[in-house]
Amino acid sequence: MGEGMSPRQRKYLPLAIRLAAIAIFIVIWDLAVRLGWIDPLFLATPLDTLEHLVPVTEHAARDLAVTLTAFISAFVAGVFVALAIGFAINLSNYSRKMLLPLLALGVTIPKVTLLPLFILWFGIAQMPVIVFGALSGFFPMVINVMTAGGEVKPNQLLLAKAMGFGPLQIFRKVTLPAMLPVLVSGLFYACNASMMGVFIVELALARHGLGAVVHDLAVTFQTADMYAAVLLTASITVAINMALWYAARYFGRWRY
Amino acid sequence: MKKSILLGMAALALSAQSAMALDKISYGTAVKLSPVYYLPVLAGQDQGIFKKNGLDVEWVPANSGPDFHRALAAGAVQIGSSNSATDIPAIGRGAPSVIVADLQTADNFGIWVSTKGHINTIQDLKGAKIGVSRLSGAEDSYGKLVASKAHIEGMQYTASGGVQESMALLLTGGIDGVVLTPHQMIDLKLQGKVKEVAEVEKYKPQPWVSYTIVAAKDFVAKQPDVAKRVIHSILEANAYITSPAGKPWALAKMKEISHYSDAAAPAVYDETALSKDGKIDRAAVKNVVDFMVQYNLIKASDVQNVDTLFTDKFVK
Repeated sequence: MGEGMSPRQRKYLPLAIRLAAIAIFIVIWDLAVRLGWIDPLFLATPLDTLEHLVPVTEHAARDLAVTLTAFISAFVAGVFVALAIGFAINLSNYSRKMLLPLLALGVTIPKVTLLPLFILWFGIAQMPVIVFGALSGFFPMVINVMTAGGEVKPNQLLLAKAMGFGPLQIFRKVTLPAMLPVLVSGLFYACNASMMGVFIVELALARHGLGAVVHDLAVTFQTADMYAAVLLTASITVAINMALWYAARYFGRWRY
Repeated sequence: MKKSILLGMAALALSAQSAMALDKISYGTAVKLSPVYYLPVLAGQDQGIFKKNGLDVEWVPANSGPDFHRALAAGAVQIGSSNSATDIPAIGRGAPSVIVADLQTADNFGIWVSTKGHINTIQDLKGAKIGVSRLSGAEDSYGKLVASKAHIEGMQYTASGGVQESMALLLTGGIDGVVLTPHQMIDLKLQGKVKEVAEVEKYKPQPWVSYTIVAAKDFVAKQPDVAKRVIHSILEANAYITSPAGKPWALAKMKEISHYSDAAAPAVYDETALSKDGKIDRAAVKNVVDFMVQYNLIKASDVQNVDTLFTDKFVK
């Protein structure tokens, strides 16, 4: 593929293929509704969805703020606790070997089955949203922190000690740089897990937030508005991931 | 003299302020977007009924009856609107709540079918596949009640999920019928896509209690005066909603919150029959208990004494 093409054409070919795939998807989506393959009660056309995007965003501005506040609280809490516990466990090889399988179990257990109990434990306001979001981000992040501990080479630590580095210097100059790539990928995983956790609880239980907006629009069959709200949610998630990516590039620029 | 006048005025102002202090209440509802649940509490707020009765009420809707009872148990709400099919299993199995008033006797469930299908009368339901929100739930039992009383053989029941999922299955032919209420089906009915072939209400034993006002036992025991004022405010709101003066307000609210069309809102309004006196009939509660035991929604041992499920001291 790409033979007989100019370097410029070869450079932009992947982008062109991606754009074409998206365009084909949108055309099929639009035809599915207009030709009656799918009842418009259950699927809005792309144009209807876009037309409703701005009004839905304006109407849901307060709920958007609620979701973002809950997400940031959940993400920061989950990551902070994961870093603290992960680093503490990494101080000893024995504790890492003992606790890693148990914490991995926490990742695989479907926490959504505990949702009904969350009302009993945390009430019906924002607390169950934040706690579930934090839990969703905590487990993958703590596993990543513990795994990142394995990236630190023992001979590098030995060399640093031999050169007279103190514990804090060893952490700053050897341990943290070695762990950073795995920690950053853990941050992305925790970010999306927290976002998903917040949205799931809002969808199932909450009165406010984007999840609650999507739920109410679905139940009242405002199909175009509902798809616009889903598109808004997806856009927010993409924006958050891009912000995180740029932040990681900025703070990790010493590595390049 | 001047000092004593000023002191007297200050004392008067403080006592007036304490007299104006409203009792803060969180009023829950089992479901957010059903008119039977939101109209009374919003009428109480909008028409100043709660304030007149010394109450500052916050509406806290849940997403299901069990979630509402969990919120009651957790103390997140003190009192609210629910339905007997959720109340009786919850209270029978130890939830610290009690039914304090009747909100609406009928729930108007029916069996709905697609207008494009082969089912036109109740007898055509023979061998039909009927969707219900979940198996062994109230809708499942209503379907079996109709089949039993109308002598229809071979009806099969399948869990079709929520309202949207059930409608999708019905319209695409995945199921032949669904057990839902008019307020959920009204838009499709007005579009000519569905019709009701059986009204569950005709087959239920009478008397019956469907929608209820339920309160935490703790709240009723420690603050009976506040509980009474909340209950009477809701009943006063019901009276307003069902009055000629309240009808335009109710229609406007249904269009605003449930996004009913101009044609759908009056049709749903006509189906509501909110109670104005809230009186609870012991025989009605017993009928619901017996029905739930008969259709295995609860065990007989779950409710050994019907009188522990409700109190009528606030609505006598």
